[in-house]
Amino acid sequence: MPYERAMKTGSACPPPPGPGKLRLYSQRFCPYAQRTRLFLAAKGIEHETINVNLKEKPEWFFEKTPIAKVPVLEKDGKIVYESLVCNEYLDGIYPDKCITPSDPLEKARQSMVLALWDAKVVEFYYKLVTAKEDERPALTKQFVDGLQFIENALTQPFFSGDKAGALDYNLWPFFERLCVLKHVGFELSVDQFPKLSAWVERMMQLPEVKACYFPPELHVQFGKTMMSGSPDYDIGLKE
Amino acid sequence: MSSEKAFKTGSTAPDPPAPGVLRLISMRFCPYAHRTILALTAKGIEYETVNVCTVNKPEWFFAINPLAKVPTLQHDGKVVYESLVCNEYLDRVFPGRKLSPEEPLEKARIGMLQAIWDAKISPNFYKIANKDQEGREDIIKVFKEGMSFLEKEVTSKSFFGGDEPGFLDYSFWPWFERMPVLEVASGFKLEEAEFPKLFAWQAAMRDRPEVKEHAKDTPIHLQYLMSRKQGNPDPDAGLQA
Repeated sequence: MPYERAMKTGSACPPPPGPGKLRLYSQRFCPYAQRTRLFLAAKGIEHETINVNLKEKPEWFFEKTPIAKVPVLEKDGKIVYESLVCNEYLDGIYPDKCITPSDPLEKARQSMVLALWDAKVVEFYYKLVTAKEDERPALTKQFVDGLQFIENALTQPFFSGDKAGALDYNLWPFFERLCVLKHVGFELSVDQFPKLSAWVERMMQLPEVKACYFPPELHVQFGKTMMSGSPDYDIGLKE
Repeated sequence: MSSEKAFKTGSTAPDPPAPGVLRLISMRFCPYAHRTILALTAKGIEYETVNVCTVNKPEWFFAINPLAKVPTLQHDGKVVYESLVCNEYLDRVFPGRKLSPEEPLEKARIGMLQAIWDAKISPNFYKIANKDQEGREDIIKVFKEGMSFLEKEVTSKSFFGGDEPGFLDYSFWPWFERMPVLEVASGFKLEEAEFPKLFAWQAAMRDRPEVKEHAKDTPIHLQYLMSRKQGNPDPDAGLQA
């Protein structure tokens, strides 16, 4: 597929997608873009993908979205960006197999769990990846304490109930990447996090998760290129 | 029961709200809580208020909301927090004027403009008040970039929500009410010549009953901010003793 390689600064703006065709601007390793790829896979929506180099952003990308981040959806001249906005939008224009909860309290609950994730976990996740040895114990404790809130929020087989739903797909990409914390000594232990561990197993069985999945080795490899300052967004692509 | 005076660390928890009563846990100067107060008033929803100190937080607050942030809503055992989550919840569950559209692209546009606000405007707001802020010139540039997106959006309508204010109007307004503080603190202000539609929007918002009901003037906003800066936050500033 011609656009698998990430398009970068100096590249020509790709022509718009054909009438009625959905296009996703993405980056193969971005967890936020993966949220939208999971929705697309779960809903069985046909789409084309253009990957974007987020270090050397193509100039044309800023015309599509002033925030210049992925994911971005483009269809019939309409543009939508922000992963959670994209996901709700997909449910709006493809109402079959609706993933976003219809009950207002349930929708609020899922948003609040994501707020807990953002406030208590994400910051320490990123800090832990680049942490020096003496920083690790304190950061690991904060990360583990934060993760406990998420463990406590999981009261059914999936965050959304009996089946995977919006919150499951919106959280999954970060759990797929937990392997990158192995080198700083963190692994999701079944003793400390029994419910999350079981949820990870269940998620890994789902076809839509498998369709978007990269194995730990590839995530770790990409992570190393990120930390070196030269992210290789095309890592793993066949020559 | 409504409590104007803020509960602080060491305080006893108030009784939970009575059945059927909607309680808002708030702080009189918090712009995020202000968003939800505006939505409640715009929709004519009855509620009681319990104010808390957001710096010296009462311990009981963490049991209700693990983030212990305002606004937090309590209603028949249900708890909702995060200002925009509260506003969406109120809009969908309570009758009264609808603050958000149903159409998917219109809804998405709200999310995208909110993202621009969150990226370019709100993180820079109070930094601009600090005359000695490192990189202040660049911060102001990004702030104005954000404002230019708002200026574009509020073109043909009076409000972001159309003929009447909606979700975004109430989301942004609290910071515009506090904008004169930036001028007092550091001389910064937006120029009407640069943002004519935003200025017209501000005048229209100031005239709204739901805005007037809760409006606070610049001196009292300043008083609160100074009390925080001095390490002795006073959420009860302006209340009779």
